[in-house]
Amino acid sequence: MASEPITPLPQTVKVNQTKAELGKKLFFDPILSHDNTISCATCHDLQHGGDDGLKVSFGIEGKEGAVNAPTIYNAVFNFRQFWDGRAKDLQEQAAGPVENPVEMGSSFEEVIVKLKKSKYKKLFDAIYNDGITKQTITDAIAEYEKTLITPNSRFDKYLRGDEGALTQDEKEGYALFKSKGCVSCHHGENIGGNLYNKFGIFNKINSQWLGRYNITHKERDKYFFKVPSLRNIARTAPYFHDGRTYDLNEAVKLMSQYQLGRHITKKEILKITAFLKSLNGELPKNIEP
Amino acid sequence: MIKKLKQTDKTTFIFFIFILFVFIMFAYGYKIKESMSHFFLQNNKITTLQLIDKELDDFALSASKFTNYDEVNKQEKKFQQTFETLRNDLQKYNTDTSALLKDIATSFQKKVENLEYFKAQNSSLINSSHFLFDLHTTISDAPKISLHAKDLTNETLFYILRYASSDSIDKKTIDKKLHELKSIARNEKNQYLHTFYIHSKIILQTLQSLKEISKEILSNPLYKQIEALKLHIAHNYDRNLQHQIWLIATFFIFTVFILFVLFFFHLASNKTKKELFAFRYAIEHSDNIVVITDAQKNIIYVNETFEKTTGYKAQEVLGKNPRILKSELQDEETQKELSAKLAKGQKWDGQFINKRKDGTLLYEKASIVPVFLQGKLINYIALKLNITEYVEKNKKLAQAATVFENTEESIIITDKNGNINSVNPAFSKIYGYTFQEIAENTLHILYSDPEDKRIYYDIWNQLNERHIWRGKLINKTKNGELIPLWTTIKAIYDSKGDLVNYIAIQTDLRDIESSQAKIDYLAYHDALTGLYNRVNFEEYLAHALIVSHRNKTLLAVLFIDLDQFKVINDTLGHDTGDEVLKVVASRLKTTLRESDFISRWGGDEFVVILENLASQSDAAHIATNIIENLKEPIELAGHSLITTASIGIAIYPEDGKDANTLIKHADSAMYLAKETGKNNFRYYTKELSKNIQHTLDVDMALRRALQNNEFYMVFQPQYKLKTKSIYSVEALIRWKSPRLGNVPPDQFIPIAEDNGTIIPLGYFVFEESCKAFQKMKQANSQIKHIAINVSSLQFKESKLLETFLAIATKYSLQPHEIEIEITERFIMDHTIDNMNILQNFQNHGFKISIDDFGTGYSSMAYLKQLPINTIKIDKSFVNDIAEGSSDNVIIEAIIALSKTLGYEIVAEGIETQEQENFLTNTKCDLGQGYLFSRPVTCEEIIEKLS
Repeated sequence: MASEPITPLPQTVKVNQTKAELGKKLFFDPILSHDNTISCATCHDLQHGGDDGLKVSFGIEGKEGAVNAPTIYNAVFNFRQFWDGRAKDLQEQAAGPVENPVEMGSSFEEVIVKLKKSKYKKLFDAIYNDGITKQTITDAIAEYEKTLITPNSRFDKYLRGDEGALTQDEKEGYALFKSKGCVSCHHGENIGGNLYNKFGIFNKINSQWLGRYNITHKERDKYFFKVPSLRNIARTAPYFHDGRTYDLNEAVKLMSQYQLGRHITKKEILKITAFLKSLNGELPKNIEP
Repeated sequence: MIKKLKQTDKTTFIFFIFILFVFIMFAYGYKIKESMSHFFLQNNKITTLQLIDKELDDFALSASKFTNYDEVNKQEKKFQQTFETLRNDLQKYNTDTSALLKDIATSFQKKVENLEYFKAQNSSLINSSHFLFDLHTTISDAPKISLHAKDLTNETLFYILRYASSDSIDKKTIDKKLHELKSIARNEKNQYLHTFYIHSKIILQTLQSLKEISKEILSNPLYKQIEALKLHIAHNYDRNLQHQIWLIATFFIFTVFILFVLFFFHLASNKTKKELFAFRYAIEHSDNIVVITDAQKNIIYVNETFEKTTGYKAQEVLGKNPRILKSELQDEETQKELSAKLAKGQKWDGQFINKRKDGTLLYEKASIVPVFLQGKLINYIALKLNITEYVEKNKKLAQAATVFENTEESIIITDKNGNINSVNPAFSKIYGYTFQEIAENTLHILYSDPEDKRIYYDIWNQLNERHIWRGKLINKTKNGELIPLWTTIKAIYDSKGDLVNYIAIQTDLRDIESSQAKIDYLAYHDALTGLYNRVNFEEYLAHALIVSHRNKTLLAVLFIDLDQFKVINDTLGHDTGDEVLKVVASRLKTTLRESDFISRWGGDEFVVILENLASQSDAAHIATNIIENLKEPIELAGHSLITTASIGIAIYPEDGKDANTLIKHADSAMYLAKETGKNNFRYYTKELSKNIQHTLDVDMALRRALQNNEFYMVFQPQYKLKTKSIYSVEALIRWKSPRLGNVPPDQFIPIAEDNGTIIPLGYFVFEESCKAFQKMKQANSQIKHIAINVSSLQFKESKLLETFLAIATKYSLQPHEIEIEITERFIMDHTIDNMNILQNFQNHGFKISIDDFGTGYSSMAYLKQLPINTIKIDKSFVNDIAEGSSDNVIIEAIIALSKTLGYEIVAEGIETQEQENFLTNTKCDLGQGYLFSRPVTCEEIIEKLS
């Protein structure tokens, strides 16, 4: 099992707890949005899979977002952030929604003024020499997000040698997951999240959004997306960047058609989804606002 | 000094430069070390980057092989982080690398993008190739598919596999096969074949993309760029190192050079230091007073001489203005002139009249110099010489000169050979010579009788010995007049003891010769005999002792006292006495040598100084001569007078070192001679000294004895020899001293007479005796009288008679019951006046008796004139009573004569029956002695009487 393409999630990530405490406050505080209505937690509901369960999210004044909100859980293990990988890490990502007009619709200039008038002034001054800046705000939030990991899924326990952690169907589902070729993209500790690939190798996927092309403007990058993590996949419907389906079986079927160009039976799909459900991990403790 | 200060500044400057260079060397050394360690760190990072790049290249060559992309991502991340730290490092230390770094960043970004694409394509390839194998197997086994189609799938798969592993396969061939396969799949309407076609086509595209992207990745210049960076920093490092070594070498050489310069400066400064030290030493120990002030004239330094001279300690004056020394005598003009000169920056010379701490004046010759350093006034230095002594000496000299010029005394100053150096106006006035006339002459020109060498010889002798000569000279003036001059000549010696001058001061005696000169002479001479007097004696003895001491010779003082002179004086009158003394004086002169010093001390006392004795016995020889010469009878106005002498001798140095002791001891010895029979001489002895000590002890004790009740009376019966019955008693005093024990009366009475205690003691005796006699009388009325001894000195008391009468009355006694005993000496020593006193006592009824009769020289004829009732024969006669003794005849004569003259006779000291018998037979009236009774207490007498 040592040479399994999937590896278990680490139990802990190194975190500065003081900063994380501050980051948590910010994470749940709508003060970061222009009209004080939207917080990070609005779209990343930690009680429900770390996303909002919508095809696309709604920002301030009910504005509609372009893509499906990915889960925040285990985001720390992704090699890039956002569907198009435009942020290299959590801190860079955290800055994005604040200034996105259809998300929080604010600016750091505005946010910093607001924070300086609030209780945060003291909290920041206690931790950061620079006080409240874009850098320190996003650093604190990123630090909190590092704590949002879900180790010890049944599958991880199986990987660590607990044969009884998975049912027969789930084990067979894992075997199919490897033999059908899913694992060539969904592997590593986060089961995905470590490469880009084209959505729709064998079929046209009919998407308005061009993915990485928006960043690189290279023809070859059209419809290239960051391969998403399959951790907690059963909790994070709807699926794909445009949330085109809420049904996990349907999603597995679509993947087989679009990406692998091969036929798959309903029985095989059920086994694979059974395996996928074993990837739900333990939720962290500090997720109450 | 200014130059030296500048040099010091220079040294300091160079020293700082040196320190700076050392500091720079250290800084550079540190920088080299830093840059080296950074270089190695950077090099390591670059190597890490190269290794990662190689791994990423390897990954790009691993197409169609499954790889966990987490590993690739980790490598990329590591590259990114390593590169970031390297870039930060290089931006600090190798600023010229930014272009290279930018290239590397760009290339790496490109490589990452390509790798991402590679990852995506590789995943697809893996999927498709696996599926294609599966599908090929399915097609081969499918019965419905034509053999041609199967062959075609075989060929296609073969070509694709070849294409995947080799570049030599033409893609067009594969495209052609795929085109055929597409037609067959359509013709045979087989889904497997169609799928095979689609997958093959995609695989071919993927493979092509992979090949292209792999090529692109491998051709990425990243590695070369990293290598270039590596070379660049290595080159930089080498260059820096070289550069720094050069710099260090330069600094080192410079430092050594500066060190040498410093060393030479140090040598120079050492020399300067020594010089300054010498200057300082010179200033501190200078005889000059040195005061240094700052520019505000506050004292900042004073030397030892200042402290010694002014009495101020340095700390008392530091910070103060030198004005504190100013005295009231300092005139303001000098002060103004000083200030003005100093203000102009000039040196001032002048004189101060300052005062010391104790207020005494201090004259100073002073120089004050302002000191400028680089044109700025920094100090004043005052060098001052204490000229007080000089000034005061000058004053004294001026005074002396005034005296010299104006005195009436002639003053002559000669050199050590007697040549005249200087004379004063008084000299010219007296002698008539001007200085020019007698300059460089000797004093001979003034001698009245140059032929009489003796007097001048004596003068020079004395001057040599005593450095002074005083006396009268008869000198000759210019016009030949002889004039008397009282002259003092003094030899003047310098501090080394060498003779420098003689000074002669002469008083013209012409006017005062007859009066003052005589008085002067008399002051030193005995008017009667022409001998030296006591004053002269004492001066001479003092000098003679010095000479004897120097010459280590013996010297004798002879104290001569005539034995019977008083008798002569009293009996034959003062004129005769004076004549006797003149004869004695001339006899002494002829007996003694010229050089012996003879003086008369008044009365019959002569003292002689004998110098240069060969031995102590010489003095005895001379004393014998004197005694022999003096006892020759003196024929005067028909009398042939015999006078003998008693002589006491004290020898220097044995008996005393000073004049007073010698005289005192000679005197003691003289008394001893008198006591031991007169007409002889005695040497002073230590024993004598002891007696004198004892005398002193007694003297002291006596003064307190009376009030301490240490005296008591005893009584010795005087009995009728015929009846052996008590007739009277003699009162005798006894002294029991707590310190000296029982002191016999013959020891303490003379001392009491000397120190005057005899007066109160006499009254005590008289009163106690009267008191006792009253008791005795009450016991037995047979007792006739009490004999009480009275000292001759008591008779000088003017109220003695009245007091005695009062005491007698007090105890109800009649004067005739009291017999006053006086000594024969009293009779001998005292004159007619005293006889009158005695007569007065007798007239009032007191009986008078003469004690110790026979020891003196009183003749019986002489007694006749005296108011006497009783004669007591001295014990010494009674002692000698023996068969055939000459004394027996004397006693018989005395008794017979006394009877004739009507005196009562008492024999003292009867100790044997034989004596008593003899005296009884010779009709002596009364006896007294141990044979009958010792002296006893009053109570015992009363007992005996009853």
